[in-house]
Amino acid sequence: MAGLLVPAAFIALAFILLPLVDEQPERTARMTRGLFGPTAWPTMMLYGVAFFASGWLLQDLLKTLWQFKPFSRAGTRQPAGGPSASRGSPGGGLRSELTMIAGIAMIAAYGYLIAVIGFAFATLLFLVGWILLGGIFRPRLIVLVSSLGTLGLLYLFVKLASMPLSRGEGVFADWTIALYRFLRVF
Amino acid sequence: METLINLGGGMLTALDPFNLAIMLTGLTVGVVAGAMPGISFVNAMAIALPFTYMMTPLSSMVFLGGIYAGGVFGGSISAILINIPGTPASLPSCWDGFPMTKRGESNKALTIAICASATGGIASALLLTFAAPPFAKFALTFGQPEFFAATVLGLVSIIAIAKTRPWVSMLSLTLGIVIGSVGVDPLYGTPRLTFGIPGLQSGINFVVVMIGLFAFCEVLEMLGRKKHASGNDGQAKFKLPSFRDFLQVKGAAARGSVIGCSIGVIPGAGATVGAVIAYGIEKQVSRRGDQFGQGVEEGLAAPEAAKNATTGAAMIPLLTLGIPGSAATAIMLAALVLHGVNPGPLLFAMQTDMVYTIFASLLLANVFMIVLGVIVARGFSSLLKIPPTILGAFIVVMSVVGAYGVRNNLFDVYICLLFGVIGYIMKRTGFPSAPLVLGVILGPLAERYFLTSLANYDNDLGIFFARPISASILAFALVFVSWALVPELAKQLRKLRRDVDRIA
Repeated sequence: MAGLLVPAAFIALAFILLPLVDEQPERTARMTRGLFGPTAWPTMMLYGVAFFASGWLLQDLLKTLWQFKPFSRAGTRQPAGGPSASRGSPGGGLRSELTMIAGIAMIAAYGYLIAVIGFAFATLLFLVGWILLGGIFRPRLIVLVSSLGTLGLLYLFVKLASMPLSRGEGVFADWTIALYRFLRVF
Repeated sequence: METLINLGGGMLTALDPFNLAIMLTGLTVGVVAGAMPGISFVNAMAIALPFTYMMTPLSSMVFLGGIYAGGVFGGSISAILINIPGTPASLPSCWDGFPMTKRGESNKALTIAICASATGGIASALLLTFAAPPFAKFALTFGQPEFFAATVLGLVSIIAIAKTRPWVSMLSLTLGIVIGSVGVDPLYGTPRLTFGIPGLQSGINFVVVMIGLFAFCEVLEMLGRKKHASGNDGQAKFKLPSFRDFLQVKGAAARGSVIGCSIGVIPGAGATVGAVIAYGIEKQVSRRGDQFGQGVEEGLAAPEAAKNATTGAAMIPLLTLGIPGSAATAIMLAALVLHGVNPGPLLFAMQTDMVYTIFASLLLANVFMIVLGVIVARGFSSLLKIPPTILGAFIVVMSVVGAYGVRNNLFDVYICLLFGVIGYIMKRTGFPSAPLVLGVILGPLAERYFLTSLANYDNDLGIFFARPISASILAFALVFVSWALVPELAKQLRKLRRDVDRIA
């Protein structure tokens, strides 16, 4: 039954978003004379979301009801969590799950740190952190991969592609500029 | 005959050592950029545009044409080997290419991809050479309703791809379209679904969504399992292509080439639509259609041929009408205009040599792509020897830079990270991500064509069915959906009847 919650959640999401998308400035409403204006397309698509989620819900509901009937075949019951629960399991156990969650946190932290300490230092720290998280603890390898990797990426993106990557804030911006000058990428 | 003579002259100019070197450089840049997730060949073309200032108009077109042809193929290398499409058009290559790699058949998958892409590209270049004027005339009759109908055809093709779970696939597709509609609308400038967040005003770019859903998700799996996404732990070594592998799927490649050439000539449709439609049709045509998604060779060959077949075809409206059908051809148009060359029917009359040299270069680029594809794929395969943790770390950095590079905006990186988490959840729960990506890519196009059609025709919905070409394309879309769904529905009905009979 828990699997039915997912399509139900999508229906709820569509109806929560519908009033938000329907707000349009009075000027635009006058221009479109209430017909196919800027909100028409997302509104139609949100109704589409609700419709297809309802179809999914109905299908799964019928399946569930059918399985609970006394004449249903043995062994056809869906696993707990609905039809999708058995799909895509990485099969790596709790340790693997925790590593992946830590990986998500690390990527999020990397995204945040790029703005604060700059691309160069954030990348260096991220590479070190990720390699450690992946279970590699050889210091020489970590130092070589992270420093040479950051260097290579700086040459590729800053020097060759001239991408205006974040230099960080405050003192980190000065350090990044000093590093760029030292490496002659700036 | 005149065309052949002109093509011969163009071939001689294209084989000039300088032009050949320029074309090969462009081709290499394209294949490498396309193969690197997050750094698309369109970005590579945009970066390369300033370098063309110092070239002649011909050299600049040969250079950009090389990047274009190579880049469209290059995306499949990463799609097949690490399940991360380098370009949106390479998305269908993940569906059957990556399962082949997982089975230890990466060599076969890459051979099929290279040969099918080259076949499609050569067919497309020949089409460009011989059929440019009549095709351009046909495309000239297209209005916004026809473009909308063509985009709808691309969208509904997802039903054929995921017909076993049509409700969920359609839900994923519409969610993708909703995500694609976030931001200021294309006609009235009204923000939708931005929740007062300034970063959302300019919308959610599909590249950002794609990188998040595919790259981060795959990297997290690599981290969790501590082994390569390919599942063969770097043992894959790409050998020289065995053409016997390709000959087994020549029919699929031929069909893909025809579809790609037909789709590519429609401005706005592009390689992604071509590849997805070719995959959907091949799934219906193939005797192993029910096994598609598990590593079927035809499922790889058809979209590969189709996406490269759109390259030459997309240049038909560009060269004959000056209408760029895609971002890549828009950059080529910019290069031509920068050099004071105005594409259009007069270009064929005034600068015939240049036009036919471009045609010949595109033909040569697709032939040389077989060699270059092998070299780059070999180098890419050796990437798999690197410990997965280290490879994953660099994929994350490249993906973050790729997301940032779309608009030089850190907000896009955060959106990308969000979609990384969403992608991870989707993968764990079995919710299909491919329709969502397709919705994000094609949704904004469909909306623009839909709104402009209605604005031009007094909000009359009947216009889509009143115009013959638009109505024909929509009818074809309906036939396509029925063709895909009816056998599945019939199967389910038969099952239901059997159950009822048993109960009775």
